[in-house]
Amino acid sequence: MSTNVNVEIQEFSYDNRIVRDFGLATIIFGIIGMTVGLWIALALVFPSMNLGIPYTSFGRLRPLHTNAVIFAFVGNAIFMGIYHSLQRLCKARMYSDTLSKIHFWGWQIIILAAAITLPLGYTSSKEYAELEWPIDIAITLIWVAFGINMFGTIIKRRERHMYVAIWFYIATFVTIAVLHIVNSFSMPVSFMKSYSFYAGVQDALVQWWYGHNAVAFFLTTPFLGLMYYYLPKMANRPIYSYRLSILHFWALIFIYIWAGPHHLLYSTLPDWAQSLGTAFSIMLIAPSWGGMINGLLTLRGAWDKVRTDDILKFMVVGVTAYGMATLEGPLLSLKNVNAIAHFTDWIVAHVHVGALGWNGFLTFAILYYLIPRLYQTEIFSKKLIGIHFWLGTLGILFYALPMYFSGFTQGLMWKEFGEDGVLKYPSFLETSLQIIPLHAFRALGGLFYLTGVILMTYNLAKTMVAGKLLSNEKASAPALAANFEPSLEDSFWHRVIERKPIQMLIYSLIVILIGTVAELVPSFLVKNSEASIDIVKPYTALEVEGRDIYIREGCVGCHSQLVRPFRSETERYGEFSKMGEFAYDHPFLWGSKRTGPDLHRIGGKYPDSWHFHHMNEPGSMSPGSIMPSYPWLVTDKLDLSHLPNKITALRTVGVPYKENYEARAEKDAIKQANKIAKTLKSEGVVVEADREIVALIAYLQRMGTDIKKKHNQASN
Amino acid sequence: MFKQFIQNVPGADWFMIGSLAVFGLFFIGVSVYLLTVDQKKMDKMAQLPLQSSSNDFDN
Repeated sequence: MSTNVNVEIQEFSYDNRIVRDFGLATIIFGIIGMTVGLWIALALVFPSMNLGIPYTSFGRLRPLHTNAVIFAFVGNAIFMGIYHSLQRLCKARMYSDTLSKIHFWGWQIIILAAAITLPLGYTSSKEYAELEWPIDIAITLIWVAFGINMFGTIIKRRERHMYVAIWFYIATFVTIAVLHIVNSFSMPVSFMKSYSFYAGVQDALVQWWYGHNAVAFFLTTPFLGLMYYYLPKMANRPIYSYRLSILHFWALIFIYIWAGPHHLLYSTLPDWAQSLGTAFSIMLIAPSWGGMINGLLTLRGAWDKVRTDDILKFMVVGVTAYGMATLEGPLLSLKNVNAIAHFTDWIVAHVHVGALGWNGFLTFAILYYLIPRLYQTEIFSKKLIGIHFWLGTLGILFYALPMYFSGFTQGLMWKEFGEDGVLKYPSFLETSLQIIPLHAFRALGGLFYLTGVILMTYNLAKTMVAGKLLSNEKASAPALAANFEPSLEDSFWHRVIERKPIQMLIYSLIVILIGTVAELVPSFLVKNSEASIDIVKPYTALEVEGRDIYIREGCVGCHSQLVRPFRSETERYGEFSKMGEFAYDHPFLWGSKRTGPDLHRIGGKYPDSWHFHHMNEPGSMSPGSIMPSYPWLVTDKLDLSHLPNKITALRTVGVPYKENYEARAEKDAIKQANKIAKTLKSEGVVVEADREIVALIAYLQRMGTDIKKKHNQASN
Repeated sequence: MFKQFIQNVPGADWFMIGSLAVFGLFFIGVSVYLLTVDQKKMDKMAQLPLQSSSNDFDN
């Protein structure tokens, strides 16, 4: 330790190994997640790629893809960037090497658990929150370890000011914690099965408050923090406007949290909540574009560097993709646009412009920037970076453009009426077959993008081999004076907020809770009698089992259960959905995509035998169908051992099953199964009553039928 | 049947208007702060990522 006249200079080292480890995990899980994505994209073109076994069917692999790219690829990239930049911005080593290791290995074990459990069918079915309750608890613990490590580092920092990137990291930490805990409330049934604490419209509101803000605070705010650190570093010039970055931060975290209901437009969610979501979504354009413009203007006077520096090219396209996605998102939240776009491939295109462009390209740029520095060497090949950039850019274009056309095609075909006043394309399958070539082009785009990532991996691996990891990078900085006298330029607000991480955490928490409370609390105040319909009864014991099979197979990934109040939908599916019909749905299963038709009014539409044949071999009932076949449902025996626990758990979360119903639930289930097996036999299908397919048929035939009973009663 | 359950929640309209007002006030407050804050401090903050330690490879 050395000193000068006034200030003690302290020597310390940065932990680069943890940065490298998260970087490696980013690359490995990026390849895995994108490969699974490519696989399921091809499965929509070639259904045989579902392989006819449970573990590789589209419904189970789709959440594996989304979880792998969001939480494994992007998640590890976030931690890589934060662990690197935070140490430098704080001029301090991470608070605890042990916590760093616990965080790293804990996160990888969670990813491994997801990779095992999702193909096995253990899922809550809630999008981007599919993992079951034991894994949810593990995520909470590891997130807390990350938080302690981050705040410990900030508290022991040697730089008095907290740069705006750190604010974004703090907001990310606190908001993700709140979102994850609130959305994950569930009632366990067994080790890997639970029911959402919330039901129907309330569950939908909580889920999309979570889902939208997972995009906001996992895919956006941490990357904005990284942008505010790495873009100035790469361009070697300060951010264009620090003022704008502060406004960007506070406005973004305040507004984002309100916008979730735009995922539920034209649903049974109250109209005021939908309008509120739309209004705040439009307001989001301002801070989002403020951030994008701030990023791009940082390069003013340095655009010549962009021409020659492929890493900066990644940053520019990434930031531009952020701007495009954050303009498109609000436009999609307009009800007239949403009426056409929702449930179509347009949303898939929108999501991937953000994921591939913003998250992917920023991650690649940071990897290219960091690895040579961590290994104290030059990048192996600059030419390969250029090839990667163009492959990635082409990949995004080949992915997004066909999906936009596919989305427009679906939206318009679903709504088109002929001159005779009836639907021009009454068969949903017709609209599915129309877009298969576009799905093939999308897969080609994915292949380009993945090829670029593999080239990057080769390039970075060669760089690592040529260099030597500087695990502990020596650094020195003056110690902070214990008795700091603020200068005139340190205003009151600066002292109370921008220097104190715990205060920053509390103020961020207050800001995000305002929108949260405004949105969620009214829905919790609604009396059960107002949100339910008398004629709608809880599912029978067998239907509960059938519903769990529906959840296990990921049917919600392709089929909605929400008929919107449009003539085009009521003509195609039947009466539009009512809030009270979902009063006992733990979880709700409205879905967000219609690769296949809506199923809310499927009950009673076809005979039992149709469902049997359709599940066993979809093409036999719907020639040309791209739906996977589910032969195991016909052969696998239904496990009723958890049924009493399921009934008890559902009663605990509010489903009005009679006391002690759990004792006779199994008997009831067997009785109903025998009845369905008898009906099937009369229709020429011989199947044992204790097979899974029977329970699924019970559920499918029940769906949306309670309302019909009401009509029948009224007409009698 | 699309029941507006806002009607069933006493004071919910004030709830929303109040929240929007909070945002308005908050936004105005942050803007006023930013318009009055010292430019030298802003410049100093903006330079933070560019301050390299002796062993930073960005030199």
